[in-house]
Amino acid sequence: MISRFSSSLAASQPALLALGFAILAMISGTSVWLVAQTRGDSKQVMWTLTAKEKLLDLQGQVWRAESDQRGLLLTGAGRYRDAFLADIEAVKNALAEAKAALSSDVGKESRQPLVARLEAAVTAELALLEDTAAKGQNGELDRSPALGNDALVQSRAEDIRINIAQLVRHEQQLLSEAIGASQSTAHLLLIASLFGASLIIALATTSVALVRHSTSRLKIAQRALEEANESLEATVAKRTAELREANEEIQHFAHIVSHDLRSPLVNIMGFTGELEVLRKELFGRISLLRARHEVDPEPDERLAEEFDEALNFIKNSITRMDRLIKAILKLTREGRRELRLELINMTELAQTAADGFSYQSHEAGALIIIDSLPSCVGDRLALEQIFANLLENALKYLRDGIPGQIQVTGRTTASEVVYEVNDNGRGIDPMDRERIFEIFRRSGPQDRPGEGIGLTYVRTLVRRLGGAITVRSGPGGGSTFTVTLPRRTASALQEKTHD
Amino acid sequence: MTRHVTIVMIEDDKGHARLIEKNIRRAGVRNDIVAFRDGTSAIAYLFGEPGAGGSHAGRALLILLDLNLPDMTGIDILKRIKADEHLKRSPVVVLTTTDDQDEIKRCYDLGCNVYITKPVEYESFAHSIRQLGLFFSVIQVAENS
Repeated sequence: MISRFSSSLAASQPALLALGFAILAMISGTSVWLVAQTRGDSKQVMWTLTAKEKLLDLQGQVWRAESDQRGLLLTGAGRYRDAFLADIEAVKNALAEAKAALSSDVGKESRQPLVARLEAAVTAELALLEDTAAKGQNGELDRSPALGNDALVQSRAEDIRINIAQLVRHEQQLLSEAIGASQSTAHLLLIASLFGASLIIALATTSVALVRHSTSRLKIAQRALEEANESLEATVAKRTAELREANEEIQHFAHIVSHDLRSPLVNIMGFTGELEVLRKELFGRISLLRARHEVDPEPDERLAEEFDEALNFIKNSITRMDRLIKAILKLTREGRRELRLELINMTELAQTAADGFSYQSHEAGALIIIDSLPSCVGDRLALEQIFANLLENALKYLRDGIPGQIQVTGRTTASEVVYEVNDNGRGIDPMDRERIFEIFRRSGPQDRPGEGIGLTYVRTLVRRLGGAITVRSGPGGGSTFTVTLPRRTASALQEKTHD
Repeated sequence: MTRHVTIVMIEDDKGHARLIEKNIRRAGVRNDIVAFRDGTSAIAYLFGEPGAGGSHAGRALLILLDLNLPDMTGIDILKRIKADEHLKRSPVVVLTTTDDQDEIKRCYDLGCNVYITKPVEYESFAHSIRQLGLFFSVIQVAENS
């Protein structure tokens, strides 16, 4: 439950971060847009101002031209004529400039007719002015009030003024519309930005809270893990102690049972012995009686034979049973013996074990080869017994007619020391490869002496040393027993001896 | 061993007791043998009702002791005998099936005089007991104070 909650929190973390970044990007975009918009707005203002100025300039020039025209008409003075001609040029220039200033794309459709009308008015006025100027040049200028009136009446100055005023208003309106629109957009964007900023703050707060939350969860989890680790060690120690106790109990049990089994055996054996004594007395008396009465001794002899056969079976069985019980006792005793770990030269140890069988190997015509073996830390007695048993087995199960060859090899791996006892003997059936390590079990034809205890004993010893034993073999193909022991370090040895 | 020495045999197995008695007799030992099949009755005999060995004052005892008894271990009896003012000089022969080295050491530490493991092979068993009987016929046993 907690873990699912934490994991969903952890998963939402990147999503929150992404959302925050998106909002930030949006706010940045808005700012960029606002700056661009402001620049556009000021350009528009500049345009509008320029257009206004040019238009007013045009109007001023028209008025000036008209007043100079009036002066010319009233006085006919040459100085007015020069000024008047200059005015016409100025009006033309001003018109061109005003038109250029009014070339903005914004509001083109609504401006176009106004500009056309203004242009038409100015052109008409210019035509009138030029006409006056031409007449003045030729001296045909009629300075009569009526004619002058006519020329003045035809003047389009008022028309131009109205047109200009309309255009100025038009531009003004365009400007205010544009600024109003961009202001409202800017306003909206500002609101959006503020909203975004507050959202980011909220997200940041949430993120911080989430991080703190998950951190505290992590801490709790870590503490729980530490506790679990500690309790695990305690549990392992406890289990090991329990196992050791159980093992000791089994050993103890086996010890007691084998002991108690021996006690009745003493009786069976003892009274069988007494029966033998009785038999001697009995048959002695019978033969005395027989001699006295001269009876045929044959049936008595047969009786004596059967009596002896029965007694022998009983005695042999008891002897065997006693050996088996002794074997169990030996195993349990070995299981309870305290090991003394020391660094052992294994080549020497194996050689000594092989020397112990020099008579047997000579008899069997077998050769025992001991390679250079890696040394190991172990219990000397246990290792001696292991090698003695394995070598004895190898010698015992050689094939008749084939010169026996037994080789002991060894190697070390990263964590283990491995010893192998290899022979070219009769081999072990695959079915029996696990069985031979069981107590009282033997493989193949039961033609050699033994109780099926040796390998059980070897396995008990190897296990006590913390190792393992395996066998690989094929029937008729020899066998290899592999003893794997843990590679103990000198420090482990020291720890052990300091206990 | 003089005739007045009484052999106290504490052995839970009737068969063992019989075999031991037979073989001791075969060695020519004619002393009285008092047999007990459990620790409680043996203790009652040895230490008397109040639990003191005073009742055997002036008598000589030789104790044959088995370790595996149904109601207690022979070690407990050995401890009490060797701690008792009157009985501590009586020879104790531990005759048992256990050949555990620790057990043997413990018995000698507690003052046991002879420790014999019962062999299963009857010949050796009978031989051992007969040897023990011969030993009985020559040793001196002190009278209880």
